[in-house]
Amino acid sequence: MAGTYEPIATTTLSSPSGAVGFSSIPSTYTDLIVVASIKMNSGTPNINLYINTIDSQSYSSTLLKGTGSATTSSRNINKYGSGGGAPIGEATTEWGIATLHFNNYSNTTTYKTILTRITEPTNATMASVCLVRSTAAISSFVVQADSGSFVTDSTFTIYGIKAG
Amino acid sequence: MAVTFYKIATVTVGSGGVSTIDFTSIPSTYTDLKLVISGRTTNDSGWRDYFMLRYNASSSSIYSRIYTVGYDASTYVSGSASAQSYHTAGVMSANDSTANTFGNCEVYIANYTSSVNKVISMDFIAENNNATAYMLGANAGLWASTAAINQITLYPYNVTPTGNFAQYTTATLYGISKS
Repeated sequence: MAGTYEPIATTTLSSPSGAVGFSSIPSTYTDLIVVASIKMNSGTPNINLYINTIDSQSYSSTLLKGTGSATTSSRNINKYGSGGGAPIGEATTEWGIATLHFNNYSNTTTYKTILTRITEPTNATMASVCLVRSTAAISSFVVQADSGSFVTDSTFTIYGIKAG
Repeated sequence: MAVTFYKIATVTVGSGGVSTIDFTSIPSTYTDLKLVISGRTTNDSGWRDYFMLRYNASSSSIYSRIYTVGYDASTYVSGSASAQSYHTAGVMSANDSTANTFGNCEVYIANYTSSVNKVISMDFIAENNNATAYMLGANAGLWASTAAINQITLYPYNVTPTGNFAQYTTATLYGISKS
């Protein structure tokens, strides 16, 4: 069986942290998928995606969120700064799942689009799309909370997908 | 080269349909599970039919979810359900929908063998090829059990099935390992 869904790296937090990143991502795959089990130590902060250490007004994102009582959509343009990149959803003090899809991440011709789903059973169900206006291959990224920290035992695994 | 995305089992429904689809004896050797469904039911149900999931054959009232859906003529809504005895995972095409249309659903269960309550993501879409009849949605589900998941059962419409999964419905369960 050809290896087309390979774990590249896993980070399991041994202490709380407000940000988790991966660097030196090989360019040998077609797509990347990140699966994270996350929980915050306080609050319900925005979670931001910060790519290739790009810290400029190069991000935009659109979010869809259902809370159980309302469905809302929000738009973020040219986000950057200490929070890092573009908002892709939120996390809270319950365990949730976040999946991020980096499609065609290593091409050097197009801007990059990232699709995210965040599942938090008593808080919200969320989906988002993020665009970073850079043609560089994605070799690193950081998932960062606006405030608070991901708790100990939060895990982040990055998989490489090959089209053939 | 490591292979970490394994097909555990596939069910393809034959002529006459089946009232449930059951994945049993799920090995505990993976990190996560992913269930991919292409489905249609035999009910005449206003073109779309809900379908349900149970884990480990549990009928305890420990299933809850938050959902957001968009459907029909530009309608969208978010709601929740708690103390249920099943997860309403999504919708699929019903018998009175356009011929040969099948709904799709993906279910992702992270850390399915862990000793904490299970968080389950369920995304779905059903399309009827007309101007006003469609549905898509996303569920954030919780199964409040610390047991490892070793069985997943799918039901059409209700856990006391009114109809069957129709012929050519397929469900595939994958195991994903992070190492």
